[in-house]
Amino acid sequence: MKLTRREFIKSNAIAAAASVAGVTLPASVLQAAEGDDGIRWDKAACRYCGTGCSVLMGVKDGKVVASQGDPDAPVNKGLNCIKGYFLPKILYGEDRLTQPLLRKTNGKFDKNGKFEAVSWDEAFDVMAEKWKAALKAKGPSAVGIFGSGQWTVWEGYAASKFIKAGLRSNNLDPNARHCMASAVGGFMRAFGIDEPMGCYDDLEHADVFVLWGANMAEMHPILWSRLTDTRLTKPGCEVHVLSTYTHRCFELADNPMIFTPQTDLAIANYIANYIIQHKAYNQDFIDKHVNFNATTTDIGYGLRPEHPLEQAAKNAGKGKFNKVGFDEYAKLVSEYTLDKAHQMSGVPKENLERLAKAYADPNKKVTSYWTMGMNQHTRGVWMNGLVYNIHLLTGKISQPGSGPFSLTGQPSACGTARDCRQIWW
Amino acid sequence: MNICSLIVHTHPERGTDVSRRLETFKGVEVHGGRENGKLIVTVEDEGETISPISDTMNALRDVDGVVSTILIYHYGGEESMEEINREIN
Repeated sequence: MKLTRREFIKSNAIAAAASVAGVTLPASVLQAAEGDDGIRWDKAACRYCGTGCSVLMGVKDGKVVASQGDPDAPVNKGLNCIKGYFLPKILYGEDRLTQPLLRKTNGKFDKNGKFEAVSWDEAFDVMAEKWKAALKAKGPSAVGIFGSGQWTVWEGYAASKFIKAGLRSNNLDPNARHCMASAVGGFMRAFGIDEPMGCYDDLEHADVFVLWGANMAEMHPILWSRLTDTRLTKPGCEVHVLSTYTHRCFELADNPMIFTPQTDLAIANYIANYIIQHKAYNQDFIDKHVNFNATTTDIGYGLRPEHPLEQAAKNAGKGKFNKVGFDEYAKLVSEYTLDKAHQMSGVPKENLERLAKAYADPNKKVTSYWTMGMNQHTRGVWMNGLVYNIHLLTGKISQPGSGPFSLTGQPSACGTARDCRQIWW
Repeated sequence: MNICSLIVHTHPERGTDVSRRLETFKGVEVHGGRENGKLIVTVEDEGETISPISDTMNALRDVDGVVSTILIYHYGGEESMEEINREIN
């Protein structure tokens, strides 16, 4: 059979997809893929987001010409996503920065000038001069670095050394502060340690998936693809999607719910109340592992003390835990009835009840997913805590297929924030 | 010159219907998987314009009945059209 190079490459592409999907294609479609395509394949990590996919990069004549998801990678199992498509592209993009640029007017540095290419020597001289002037005028508090979750851990380490040991300043703010502070607050308050439990294998083990505002279809496409596969092949599997607007995940939703912004707190407390009213809590797990605390409310928003919102708050800046018992906790959430949750959220009662039942059913493994909608909420710490409450009441936590799972977006947010500052410092 | 393969998830009962819709896009072919709801799709371009293939992939995601679109393999070599269409065996 005569074959062009294009047909040959295409057959390889089809064979790779069919193999990952477990779809059998006619032999005639695939036989063209046999043979050597002259491409050398090497393993690499996709650096775009926090999912952690492995990719294979194909090199020909010293240049990256092809990429595919690594079929042996436990995270992405051969899948790649649209962002991965750009991995080879960015290596050769015409707008890549290849030399230092400095804003200049008439050959001298000027903040309002236009970018000009300069030597590394000149770039470092100007930077050193400006850092020194700021340090001399105002001391270490006048300098700082904003880090990135796209930094490698090594870059984060170098930045940490530079700002702390070199410039004697503490002003190093990582991506994690902006992105995940409330998730960390939730973890610390609930568990005393900051790291998500659960793992990606839950995507195949769960019976029920609940998306608390996460738009996994667009933001975590690899994980969404695994979730989709489970939903379409596992009998009885359900997907509940909570969001303030309709997005791509609704295509797969068995229980789609649009709620009024901020009322997710009421929905979570309603679910806890439902579980208690129907005695669907796991007494044994609670006795062994759960303490009940009530937090101070009306705490303001963490703004400067002179801000009107802080001045209006009765307990601004406070957040003390007060130990309570199960009965007192039950009483606290008892006001969140189905009627109240429905009135506040605008979600139809049957949808809310279906969600609560899924969590309450002792025979269903439930995994909850959320991302920045919950973590960057004005009540992010509380909202994280309220979802933990549901999982702790039912004991559906740290079990295969069951658990609360805060999804992240950056490859090294925690890496640069914690490993560089605490472990290596 | 770009050639990509994708898996497009649909509800299995909509596989044939969605497959027909995908094939209305230029450069898109469905090779199988209709009955499993896992369509094996290729997207190709001729390389003359800047990256229309990524626009096509994004557009496929928005087709009614598509649950998930996932890239598997991408080839993006820069050989000429003549070279890529030459017979190799």
